Formats: sequence, C-alpha cells, structure tokens
Amino acid sequence: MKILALETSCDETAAAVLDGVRVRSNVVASQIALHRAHGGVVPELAARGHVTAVVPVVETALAEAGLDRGGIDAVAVTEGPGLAGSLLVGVNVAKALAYALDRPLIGVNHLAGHVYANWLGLPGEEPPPVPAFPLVCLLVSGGHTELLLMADHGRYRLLGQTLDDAAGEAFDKGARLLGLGYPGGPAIERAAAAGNPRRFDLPRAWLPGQGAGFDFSFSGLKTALLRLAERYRSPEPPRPRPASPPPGRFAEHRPPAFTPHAPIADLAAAFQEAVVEPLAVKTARAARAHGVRTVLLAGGVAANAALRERLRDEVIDHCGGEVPVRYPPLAYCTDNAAMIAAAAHFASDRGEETGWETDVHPRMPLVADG
Amino acid sequence: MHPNLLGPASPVRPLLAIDSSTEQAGVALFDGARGAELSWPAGRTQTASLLAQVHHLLGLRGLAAGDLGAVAVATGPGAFNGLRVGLAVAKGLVLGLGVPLLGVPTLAAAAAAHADAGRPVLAVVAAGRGRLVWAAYGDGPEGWGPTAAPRNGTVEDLAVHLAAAAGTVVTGELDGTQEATVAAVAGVTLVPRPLRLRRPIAVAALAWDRHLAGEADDAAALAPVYAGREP
Ligand SMILES: [Zn+2]
Repeated sequence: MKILALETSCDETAAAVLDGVRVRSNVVASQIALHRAHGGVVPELAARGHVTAVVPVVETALAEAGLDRGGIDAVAVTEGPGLAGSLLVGVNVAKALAYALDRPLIGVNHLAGHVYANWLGLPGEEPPPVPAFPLVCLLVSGGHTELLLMADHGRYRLLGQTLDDAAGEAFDKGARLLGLGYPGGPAIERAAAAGNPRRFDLPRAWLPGQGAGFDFSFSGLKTALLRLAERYRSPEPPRPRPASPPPGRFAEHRPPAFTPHAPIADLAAAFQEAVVEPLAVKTARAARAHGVRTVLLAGGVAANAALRERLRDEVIDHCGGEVPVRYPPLAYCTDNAAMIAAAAHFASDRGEETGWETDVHPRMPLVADG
Repeated sequence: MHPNLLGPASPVRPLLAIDSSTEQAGVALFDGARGAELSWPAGRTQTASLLAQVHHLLGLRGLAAGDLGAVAVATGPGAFNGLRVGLAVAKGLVLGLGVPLLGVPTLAAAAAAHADAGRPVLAVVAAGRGRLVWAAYGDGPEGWGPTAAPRNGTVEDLAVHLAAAAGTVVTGELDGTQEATVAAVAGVTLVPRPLRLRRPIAVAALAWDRHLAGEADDAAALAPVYAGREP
C-alpha cells in the first residue's frame, strides 16, 4: 500500500510517500532560516509558509516517488498536536486531496509519527530490524518530552513527561541566553564540543516524589543558566529610543553580547549535560522497571550525540548489554512526513480511518488519560 | 428531478467556489448556466465543516469531485486562519483533480452582488479583533471594479470615511454595534442585514469569466491577502 503523508504541525512543510514501510520519497521544506531571525518559531509566519510551500512539496514527493496522484492508495496527515494555524493547512489539503482522489484519509498523532520514525530506513535502503515490543521510547523535541511505554503497535502508556519546558525548548532557550542562535539543540551541541561540562554545576530536577519518578523539568535549569551567563554579559550600549515604537510586525531577536573571554563553550557543555543526564537516566530506569526489549529515542533532540551516547551507557548500566538502544536516521529525527506515513501504515493495518469532519487537534494527547 | 428546469446543461464542467474568509462560510457550484450554493455560520469550525459541505453540495447536483472543471477560492481579506482553510481545501482539490485554481478577492465578491445599485458600493469584511477592511467599488474606466485600495480600521474609522462619501451603498459583515454606527452616517444606504452576507456564487461568477478565458492562478503561490490587523 502506497501512502502519501503530509506534516505541517510546526514550521516544516513536509510530504512523503511510503510503500509499506519503504520510503519512496521524503521532502521537507524548512522554514528555519525564516524563524532564525526571530530566535524561534513565530506561529503566524509558520502558517503563512505552509500555504505557499504545500503544493510544491506534495508535487515533489510524488515526483520523487515516481508516482502520479492516482497511484496513491491512502492519504495520511498530522492532526495534532501542534500549532493550530499550521496544522490546519496540512489537514485541509490532505482531506481535500483524499476526497478528490476518493482514497481513505488517515489522521496521525504527530508524536506517534516520531516513534514510528524508528521503523524506517533511508530511501533506497533496507528498513532497520523491526523494534521488539515491549519498548520504551524517549520522545524529545522542541514541543515534547515524553517517556512512553509501548506494549504493541498503537498501544501507548505515558510513563512521564515534562512539567514545564520541552527538552528542545530548553535547548532553544539555553542557546538564546548564550547568544548561540536557533535552532538551539545543534547550536548548543556545537558550542559544547569544545567545552568542559564540569566547570559549572547546574541543577538537575530529579523530582523523586513526582508520579513514578519519570517526569522531567527544565525551567529551573534555564534560570540557573541565566544567572551564570549574566556574569559574563558585556554592558549593553544604550539604544536610541525611537519616538514611536517601530512598525515591527514580527520582532527581530537581538542576541545578547558577552565579554571577550566569556566561557560560552563550558556553559554550553554544562547546560547540555544537565539536560541530557535526567533524560538518559530516567529512560534507562524505566526500561529496567518494565523489562523492555528495546529502547527507542525519537524527536528532534534524538539527533543530539551527547544524549545518544549517555542513553546507551545508562541502558547498559541499568539493563545490561541485551537491550538495544535505537534511534532514527537523522533525516527522520526532525519533523518529516515519512514518519507520519509510517504511523499511518500501522494504523491502517488496524483498520483506522478518519472522516471528512475531522478537525485539527492542537493539544491532541497520544495517551488517553488513565 | 427536472433536469431542464434551469435551462440546458452547460457543456463546460462546473466550477466549485469556496469562501471561508470569515465565520460565515460558503460554497457554490456554477457552470455558466446553473448555480447551487450553501452558506452557513461556520464559526471557527471551517476545518470540520468545509469539505463536508462541498460533498453535500456536489451531492445536491448529483456530481462527484471528479466532475469539477475548476476550483475558485476567496483570497481575503478576512480572518487569517479561515482564509487558510479555504486556500488549503482548494489547493488539495486541485492537487487531486489536476484542474485550474482561481483566486477571487473577498471584497470583490461582496461588492459584486450590488453592482447594479447605480451608486458607489463599499464592501466591508470582518478581519478579526473588531477590525474591518473595506474597499469602494464602482464604474471606472475599465468597467466595474475597485475605485480605491482597501483600507482597514475600526468602525469609527469607517464612519469617518463614509461621511465624506455620501450616496454610498454599504454591504458586507457588520455586527450589531457596527451596523448602528454605519447607519447613523448621513447619506449612507446600508443593505439589509441578510442581503449583506457574502454569496459564494458571486465568487464563482467572478472566477467563471476568467476560467472561460483560460486564466488560472499559480496553485503553489496563491496566498491569502493578509490585511486587517498586525499579527
Ligand atoms: Zn515533532
């Protein structure tokens, strides 16, 4: 079965074609350059970008898959969670496309998509070994930090989640505080490579009393980094105050200025370790507690090499060498539509189909409460 | 069924028009001779209701999506997310059907219903957060069309504008308070409330002539007119 999937939940306009779980094409139009000037995603700008990117992205995905539109068996789309104005572009295009082609529509939870990125190989390559259930998946991105237990396809249990910032958001904010640019994860990782993580002691929120101890928190860490970084800020020259506020439609982000010898690399390294350690340790603890057969990493932050390394070490420490730690190819860590098609493939196997009256679900949970 | 009730069927495949510029949404079919339209207060549920109503309308005419020859969509101004729903449905349909896409300015569609008033027409559209966008339409050197660029402001700004434009016919969406403010301006004719609703068939009619002339817009680049408020 050939599935065309669309993904527009945040700032990437993406379309992909899968044949089974084989990726025939995977096209992502990134808005990173657009949002970099603002130090983060501006929802209204993201929505505008999807409207003009979506047609060429779909056409390219079909062309690269060597298909015309009639060769599609089903259309899948991210229904949520995400930015409402962005989601609705993909959902409405996908609905209308499925309707025009008289094919089923399969709505997909964006988080499920991230998890299923682990079932995919790069275009033209063999898919990786099928992850064995039960598994835990640490899903870390700009919008999400969730620790999931999966007993089987489509069966999720939420073991823990962030109580404040998502891990990717923490990286974005940390990078912003250090003047390292956007997106924050790669920026922090680059800066941290030359740094000494032990020079500064930043707090970890272990939250032992919280739930089963698998929740996360990064807001205290951000505050601690701000206090440290402030010591090295160079005094800002006073800006001439305009008579009237500038006609700024979408405010430009002004990075902070630091003194010449500010230890930015050490600060970045300490910050990265303080984000990574609780993520890796709690995931490994959950893997041991639930006797899983696989540990998966998913989401944009799964691209972080320090997290991958630390998680592998912690899983060996907690579970021995028998439990593999897996993460998707880099291209499937950040938002993409191939992962949405993969989740749709298994949802379709279970007979799931979405009606024309479906709406966007900006706060869609992956796991029903209870 | 009385297939000949409204004249002979057009040899040209019908055009579907979509207008979700504001909370009053509409869809219409037009084939040069026969029209069909639905208009409903969609609120913010355009994503949930629009395609279902397209399906309903096609069903009323005994048609399927594959029978469509073109898709037209109101491009605004209006509510940003509402406009994007319409654009996205229209783009999805033309992607799936391989038919032309035509954008129609929302204010032109609103004004078109009163083109025979014999007086200047001022079309108004709600742009969210109490803001209005308006433009004057009338006979110009190139026939009926806008006589000034669209402006946006509060209803008080609109009243000031109208005070200097005696004899104008005002149409489009106004809430109760806005309606009272406009009605109080001397020399202004306010179209009765139900007839001020935009009609999706007007979107279809404006697109139809362009479609017959072989014109189409770029399905990739067509985007809403983002006027009315600063995000
Ligand atoms: Zn994501």
